[in-house]
Amino acid sequence: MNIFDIIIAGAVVLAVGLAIAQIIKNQKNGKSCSCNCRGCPHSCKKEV
Amino acid sequence: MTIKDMNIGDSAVVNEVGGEGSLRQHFLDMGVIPGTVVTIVKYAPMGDPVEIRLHGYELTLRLADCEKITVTPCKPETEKASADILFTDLDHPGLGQGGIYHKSGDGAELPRNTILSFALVGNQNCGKTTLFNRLTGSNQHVGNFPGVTVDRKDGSIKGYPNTVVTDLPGIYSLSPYSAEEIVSRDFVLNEKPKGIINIVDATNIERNMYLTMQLLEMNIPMVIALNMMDEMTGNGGSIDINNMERILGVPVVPISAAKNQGIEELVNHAIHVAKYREKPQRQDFCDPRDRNGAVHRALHSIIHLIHDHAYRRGIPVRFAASKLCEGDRLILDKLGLDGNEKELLEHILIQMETESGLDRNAAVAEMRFNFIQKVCGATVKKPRESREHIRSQKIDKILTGKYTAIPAFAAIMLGVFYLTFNVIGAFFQGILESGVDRLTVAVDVLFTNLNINPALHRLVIEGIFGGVGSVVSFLPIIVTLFFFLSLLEDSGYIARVAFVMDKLLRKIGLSGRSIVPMLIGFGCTVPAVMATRTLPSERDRKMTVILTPFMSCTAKLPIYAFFVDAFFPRHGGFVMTGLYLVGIVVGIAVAFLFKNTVFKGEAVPFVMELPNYRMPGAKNVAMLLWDKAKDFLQRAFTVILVATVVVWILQNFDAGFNITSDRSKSILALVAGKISPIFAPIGLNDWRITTSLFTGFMAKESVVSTMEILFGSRGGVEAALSSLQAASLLIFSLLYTPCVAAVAAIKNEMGAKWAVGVVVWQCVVAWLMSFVVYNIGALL
Repeated sequence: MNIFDIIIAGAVVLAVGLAIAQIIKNQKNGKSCSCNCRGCPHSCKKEV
Repeated sequence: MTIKDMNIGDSAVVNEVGGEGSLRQHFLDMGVIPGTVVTIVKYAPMGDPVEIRLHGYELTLRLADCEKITVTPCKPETEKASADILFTDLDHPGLGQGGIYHKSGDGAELPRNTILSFALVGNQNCGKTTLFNRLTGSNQHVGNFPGVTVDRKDGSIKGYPNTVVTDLPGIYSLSPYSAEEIVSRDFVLNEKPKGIINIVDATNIERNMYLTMQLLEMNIPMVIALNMMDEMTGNGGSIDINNMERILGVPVVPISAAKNQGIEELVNHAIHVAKYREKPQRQDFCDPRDRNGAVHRALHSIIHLIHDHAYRRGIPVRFAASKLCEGDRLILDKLGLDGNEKELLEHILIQMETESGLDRNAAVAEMRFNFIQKVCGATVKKPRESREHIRSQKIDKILTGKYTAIPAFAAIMLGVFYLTFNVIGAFFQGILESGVDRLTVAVDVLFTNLNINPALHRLVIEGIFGGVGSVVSFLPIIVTLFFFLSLLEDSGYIARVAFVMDKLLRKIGLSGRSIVPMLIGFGCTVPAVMATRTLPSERDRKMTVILTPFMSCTAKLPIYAFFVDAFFPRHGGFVMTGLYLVGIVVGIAVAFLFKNTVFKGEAVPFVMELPNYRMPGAKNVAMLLWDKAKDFLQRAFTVILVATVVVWILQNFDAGFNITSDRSKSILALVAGKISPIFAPIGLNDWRITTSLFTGFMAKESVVSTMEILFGSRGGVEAALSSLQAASLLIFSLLYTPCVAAVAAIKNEMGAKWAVGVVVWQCVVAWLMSFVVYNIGALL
């Protein structure tokens, strides 16, 4: 494994991690709901 | 006699409005009240529903609902005499003067750094979205209201960063019978905006002002934006703005949102009334001379009765009194009246009904419409029949004509599909695919040069670029399709489609509006599911989403083409057509099943306005397309990215988590092998077939390519399967789970549980139908 492998692997893990985090955030109480999540049972208020 | 017994062109006065619950209240809110003159305009091509004219606008009603409204024939409605509301001339501020109208506020000026929040409220089709876009520009944020599937848009007024305007759903009244109405009034009652901007369609002023009356009762600083004034004056009409302001007690600003006229004056007035807390000067609309003063006395009695409760609960007392008169249980519960007060309230209402000769709901509706007619009589010079209306009627002769409606609809939808999937959408899709391919090749070369680990290399190139790239290539199709849909919706044509198709769809428990998402499903399930957002009813939305996957999408065509070519070369057309018909028939059967089980309940009323045809605004369309594109891309880079990586790992790693190029040893093949016995009764007990079907979850197109890889070649597939197995596989591919992009769209609209449910349900239905086909075929 060389340094580029680590960078690429890190980037992939980061991308997937961010995607999973966004998916989870869409399901929870959000302060700025940009998910357009129809059916979301939680408050979806925009902070002014 | 009822409305159902009337012929085209007949006019009649409404005697009694039957029905109950939300449907009846909706009739009353739309102006179908005792004493109203209604005229039959036309019947839908299939004989139901019917279009009627009342209060200067067109409304559609189902014949079953028309049977509940008794009428007496009369001559067509003539102009009413001027009202007897006394007024004096009042100077309206000239441009730049500002503030001459405004009365001094009830409270002191708000502190400088207070955020001025506004609720933008109005009927559907009154230009609310256009006004919202004019006010806020690109400073918008889209979300949804909590607990309901109702879109919410917020934005600050251009040039006024200390403001926020919330675009509330298009509503006709503040009755608590639809999610949109409840959301709007709860927003005003709970979030307490500093002001209300009520947008009124000046060409349809009587019906629009029904909501205005209720908003005035909320005792919040308010301005009325009289929209489409250009159309009004262009057709010879006019409105005495000064006197309307005087009568209603709030600033009235003539605007044309489409032409960007009057917006600045509107903003100035809105900010002024909010900043100086200038509440409506008038909330009392009941006339002691109407119905012997029965409604007037009742309302004022209730106001006295509930005053302390309303004050404690923070509910405007006039609003609460009107709603109690209408039998609004939500308000009654919120007020917390004791037993004695409730009894007294009921006696007041019974007395009102006895003295007025009307039930309580009709009495309140009539009170409002009487006031509206007086206001309009005093201030509105009605235009001659508008050019837009004449034009709409001419267009409707073809688009809703008895023999031309359905062919016209078929031609328009075929044109939309052709342009989307074969011309415009396909062109841009080709460019995007080419771009993605080039990027993939560039990254591939780069990784090779950098000596990247082979497993990582394949994950990024085959998995992420391959998977996400193929889904992202949907984007031009989505945007193009929504471009056309937006044109059709905003022009007013979709309302006609619903009118024409309602009778047909009602047989399967849906309303006419559901036809459009289902038709789009023949192209692609993803935009079809997204298009269900326009359906007014939660129940209809869910049911339409569940039925849409049965409409065979274009991604399945490669599967059909492959097997038809290999196994049924002489009957290709017949088999293809048969597959589409099977999908539709199974969808109808499922609809019947759900109509009486999961989605059993009160039929959704089909009370819908038919607006004039209008050219959609380019900016509105552009903003909608941008919203849809963002929505889709966000989904592609979250759910689909994760799903792509997971499936790739399953396809390329063995049970020991070692990377393998032998797909037969992969985790996916292992799992598929364990599951494939389930497919034995339908003749597909081969791990290679099961694995291919799994990959179809990512993209339907990959079923064939995976089979070719696993069987070695196309010839290998033909040798391994019989015609009967091919038929079974075709039926299974037609009906089983939609692709991950579609499932993500379903999850977005209905939540994860429904998305999983759809996947499982589709697979079960596919298995059952394949079982029938395989076993009947074996017997023949």
